[in-house]
Amino acid sequence: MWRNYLNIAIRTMWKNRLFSSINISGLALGLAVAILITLYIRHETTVDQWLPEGERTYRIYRYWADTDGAWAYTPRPLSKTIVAELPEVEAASFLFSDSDILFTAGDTHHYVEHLGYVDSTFLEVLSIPLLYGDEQTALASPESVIISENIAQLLFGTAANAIGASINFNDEMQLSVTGVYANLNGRSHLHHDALMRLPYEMDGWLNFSFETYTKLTKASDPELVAKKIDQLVKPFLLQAYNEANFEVSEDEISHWGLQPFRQIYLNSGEINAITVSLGSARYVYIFGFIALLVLLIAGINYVNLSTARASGRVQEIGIRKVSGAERKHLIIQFLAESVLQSLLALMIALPLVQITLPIFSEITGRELAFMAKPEWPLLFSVLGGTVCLGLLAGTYPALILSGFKTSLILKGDNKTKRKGYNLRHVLVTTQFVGVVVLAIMMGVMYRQLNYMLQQDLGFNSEQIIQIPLNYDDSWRKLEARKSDWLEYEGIHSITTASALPGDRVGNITIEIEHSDGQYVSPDMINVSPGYDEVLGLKVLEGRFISDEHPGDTSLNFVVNEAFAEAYELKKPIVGQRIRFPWEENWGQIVGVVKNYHYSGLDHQIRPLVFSGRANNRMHAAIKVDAAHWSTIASLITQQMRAIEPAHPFRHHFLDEHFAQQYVKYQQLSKTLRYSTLLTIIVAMLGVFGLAVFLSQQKIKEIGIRKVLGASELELVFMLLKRFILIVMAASIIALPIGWWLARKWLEDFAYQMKLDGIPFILAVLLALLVTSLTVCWQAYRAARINPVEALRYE
Amino acid sequence: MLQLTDIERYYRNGLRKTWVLNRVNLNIKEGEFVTIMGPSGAGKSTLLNILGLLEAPSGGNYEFLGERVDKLSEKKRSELHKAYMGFVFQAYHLIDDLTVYENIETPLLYRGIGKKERKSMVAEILDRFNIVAKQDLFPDQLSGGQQQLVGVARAVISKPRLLLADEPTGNLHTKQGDQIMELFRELNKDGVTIIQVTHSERNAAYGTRKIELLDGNIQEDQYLESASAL
Repeated sequence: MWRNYLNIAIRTMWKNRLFSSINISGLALGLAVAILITLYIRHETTVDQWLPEGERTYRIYRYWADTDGAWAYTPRPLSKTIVAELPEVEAASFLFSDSDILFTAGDTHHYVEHLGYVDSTFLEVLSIPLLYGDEQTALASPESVIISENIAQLLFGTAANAIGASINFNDEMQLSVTGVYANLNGRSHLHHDALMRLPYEMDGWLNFSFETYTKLTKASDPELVAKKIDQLVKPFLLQAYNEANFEVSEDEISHWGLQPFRQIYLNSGEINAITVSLGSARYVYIFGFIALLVLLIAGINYVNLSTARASGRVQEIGIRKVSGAERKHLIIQFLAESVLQSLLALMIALPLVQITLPIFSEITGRELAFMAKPEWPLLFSVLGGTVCLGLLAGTYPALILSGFKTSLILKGDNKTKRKGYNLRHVLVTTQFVGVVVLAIMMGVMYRQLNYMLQQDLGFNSEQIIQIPLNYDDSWRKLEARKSDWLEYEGIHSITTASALPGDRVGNITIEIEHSDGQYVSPDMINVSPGYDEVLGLKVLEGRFISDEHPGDTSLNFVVNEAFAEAYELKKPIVGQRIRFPWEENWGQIVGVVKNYHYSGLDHQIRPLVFSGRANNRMHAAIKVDAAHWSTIASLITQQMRAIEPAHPFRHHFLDEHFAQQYVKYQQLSKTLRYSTLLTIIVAMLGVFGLAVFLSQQKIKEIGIRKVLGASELELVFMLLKRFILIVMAASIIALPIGWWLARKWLEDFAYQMKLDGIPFILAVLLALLVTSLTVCWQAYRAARINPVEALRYE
Repeated sequence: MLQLTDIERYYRNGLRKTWVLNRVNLNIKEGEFVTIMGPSGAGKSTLLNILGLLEAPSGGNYEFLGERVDKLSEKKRSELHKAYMGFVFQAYHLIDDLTVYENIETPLLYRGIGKKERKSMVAEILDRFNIVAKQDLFPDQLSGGQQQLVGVARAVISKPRLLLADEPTGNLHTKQGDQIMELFRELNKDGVTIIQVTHSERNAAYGTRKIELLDGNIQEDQYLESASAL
């Protein structure tokens, strides 16, 4: 019996090559997209899951009952204290993240992008398996460092060579490699290329620059532990505030919470953290939705074409019925056919996935692998999914086909042809709703991204060279040469600062005079005079930090408009006084700058103070004239060698550096663009199939109309009309859905473009255009047919 | 074998009912070879469809082998088809995408007959109908007469007790038609009850009983003594 089914399935498919290939290629594209997205989702959901005992490992965060959000910023003594005092805490350790640190091994230099400072117990908490070295002792010595395989290969050729080798750390100290671990990047929310013992004294309770991870004993309740931490830590904090001359009441002290380690990567949206997680549960949902949508559209193609072409199989069904076939036999037969087609589609989809995987990896910014090694569970689930797709797509056609009345069939009654006619319209409309919604989202994302990239940021990012500094005192040396450098042709201005636009900006506690001891925590940037010139900031009131006023580089401050607004300073703002709570002297606000987007348009502009104090500044920026760039480059290279002899010279262009923060959105936008394109292709395959079918079905009508004098154009329009109406109906449904989704998505951005009608109109026009092109070609062919031929068989 | 009592079939057309069959009473015994005749629109095909359980009557009683069958579920009907009936159509209705062999084999598949037995049954009937050489051809590679031969072979492969034929020779030349009719007579001699619809007196002469239908009523019902003499 199965032989018989198989024979007829293959022969029918072959006879209707066009429709079969539309069905199969649509399913193949749908499956390929779905597999790719499955790989992406699998990647995202396996990040960090490999960590041994990760289920009882947590990251500690702080929160305030009256404020939204939480901060995974903790002080260093926290870990030591909770291990010592709480029996539920099996181990705890801190992590301090640094970046851009020079490692030198022999003649090989490498700037380590992400470096972690930890204590000796770190691997007890986060048991990152070592490829080489002993987890127990790897971090025992203060001179020890464990490095990623990647760094090991860069510095020593192979990972095995690295063990025991020595590394010069930032021209400051010698380290000995005691362990090598598999690269964390992409496998964990942690992306550190090297982990070493903290080389600095940073022991204060008020220095919230550390992440703290903890492993609890089995069966202890994290919520209870968090409460205990609250109680335990409060006295320490109060004392520390007190010593620092802060007047903080007990109620103002933050609470503590434990975030499960395995949830950090995908579910950290509400938690501000030092190590920013690239993952987002929301994107996993978006991508999952797109995968389902493409599969749905491919499935709909199958349903539409199968039911539309049902009349071609009516006779066979009749015969089988009078030959004794029960309905279930026929249902099984047609389901087997659809499963067969989806399996064929899978055979096309698999190589397609292999081919497009590198591109997809690049678009998503994830390193995805498919069948690099045999992966049976994945293979089976793909196979199972494919069979399910076949069954789902085949069910409705099978029910329709098997339900025909025998007596009508054998008489060749035409009524059977109308079956599924309305449903087909509903399904095609559904497809177009999906297409139009995706197209709207694509347009909105594209425009929001452009809006961000083209927005007046309030500062000038062009022709600015950014130089990362590596030593705490480099900026002083650089400032000392400033006047020499400024003499060169093409160098307009120079500054050193703790942060340039796009860099992370720390916040600081500030006391405003006459505010009843209220503390505020604005962002703070340490700058040298000239910062405003380099970035082209507008000073609205007073002046910027200036060399000419000695107080400016010690006590005084400059604030932005948001500062004045948020803390309700009365005008004139210049002349009012603020200070750090742990200092006696008040500093004057000497200037107000116009708001500018120093951390990108996805963040609100926060209150900001500039200080000219001699605090650490790890960035230099130079405004140059592009025409002279090559001479300036060699000059700076030479000069920097004198300032930082051990460090190869590096620089970025500020505009490129700043655009980096939009990478996430660009990836999403690109992914969406490609998905939309593919979805449209799959949908159009179906539309094309229906157009072919319709023109075959209407060939007699076309013939008659032609004889009666209809022009080709009128006939094309006759066939096109129905599709245009469907697109219009779908658009009416899609517009509010798209509007709602677009609004939702835009909420992520502090600065949103005005949501106007353009993406919506364009999406509808796009759908109309591709539909017309798809249908017209076929309609034109049908309209040109010789009426004699069309009518001959009647 | 079967008994029709007051069988009615009408179509509703708005408020009007159009009768195709009007209070038909008919009793057919096992072993008969019945020909239903009549002008177009007399209700011949409808009657045949009702007899073959392809269409339900609008009213009346239909007893088949002593059981009422006018209101059966699809599954029950399918069981009766499998157990007792074979069909032959004017347009042959072979499955285009199956070979001659596969077409003939199809009814056996639905009766759950094993592969070996199927093979020997199909081989036997191919041999009997003299179409062994054609077994791997597709329907469109055969002449009309050959196609109908396959159609009959398919109808009788499962040894039905009742063979229903709707204009079996309507698309055939006289000579091809005679061949089919000879076959029918042989089958009838072997004990198969046959009911055929036809326009042709020549075909009717092969049967044992002739029923004339006019406007949904039985006009004439006549037993043909001379049938075997032809």
